[in-house]
Amino acid sequence: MSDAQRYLKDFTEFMDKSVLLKDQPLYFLGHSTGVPVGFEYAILNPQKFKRMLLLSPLFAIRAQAFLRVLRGIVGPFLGNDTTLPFQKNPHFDKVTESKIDSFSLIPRLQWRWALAKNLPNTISQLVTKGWFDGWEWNFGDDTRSSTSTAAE
Amino acid sequence: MNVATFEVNLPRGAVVFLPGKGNTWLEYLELIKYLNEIGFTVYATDLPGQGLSSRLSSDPYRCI
Repeated sequence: MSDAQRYLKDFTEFMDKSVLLKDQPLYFLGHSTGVPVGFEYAILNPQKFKRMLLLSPLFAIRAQAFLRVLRGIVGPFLGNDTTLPFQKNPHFDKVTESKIDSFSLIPRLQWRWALAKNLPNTISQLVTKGWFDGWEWNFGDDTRSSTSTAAE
Repeated sequence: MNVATFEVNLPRGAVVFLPGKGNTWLEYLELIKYLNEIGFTVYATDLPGQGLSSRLSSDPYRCI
């Protein structure tokens, strides 16, 4: 078993034993290269989460492309494992994709310390825009949601 | 895999937070506190080889 497969297995066990037992609306916040693990899990278990947000310090593009870029970055880290769900099924269904949004953090705040400081403000905007309540949202010209992109 | 749980009473939902490469949830305590304040239980994880999770190499100071 590769490191990536082992980690996905550990993550799935953690979700089943610690999170899903409580039967609560579940949201993923994946920041930068932390996204793929949650994303792989989501492809395997689309019925188990409500919405997922991919936070990028650089750009906001539709979820699939976002993950492809991240795969290029973290591929060596995860061992470029072609048995992982996303590698086997890059064209996951639209129902799953419709639950996934991507959001670009302000480029000038891409330094790590600034990102950590800025995230509460970012999430505050999400709350204001009703993201957690399932509303469509739009942060302006430099960002867009993958939901609207998928419908184009 | 290290996971920290920050629970609230009567949560409106749960947020699983996955930090980026080289990061640890310890850097995001302000975010976690804010999510708690607006009613979410937070599960904050560290990717393998990062933060408080076990290392993939024999050198504990390298994340890969």
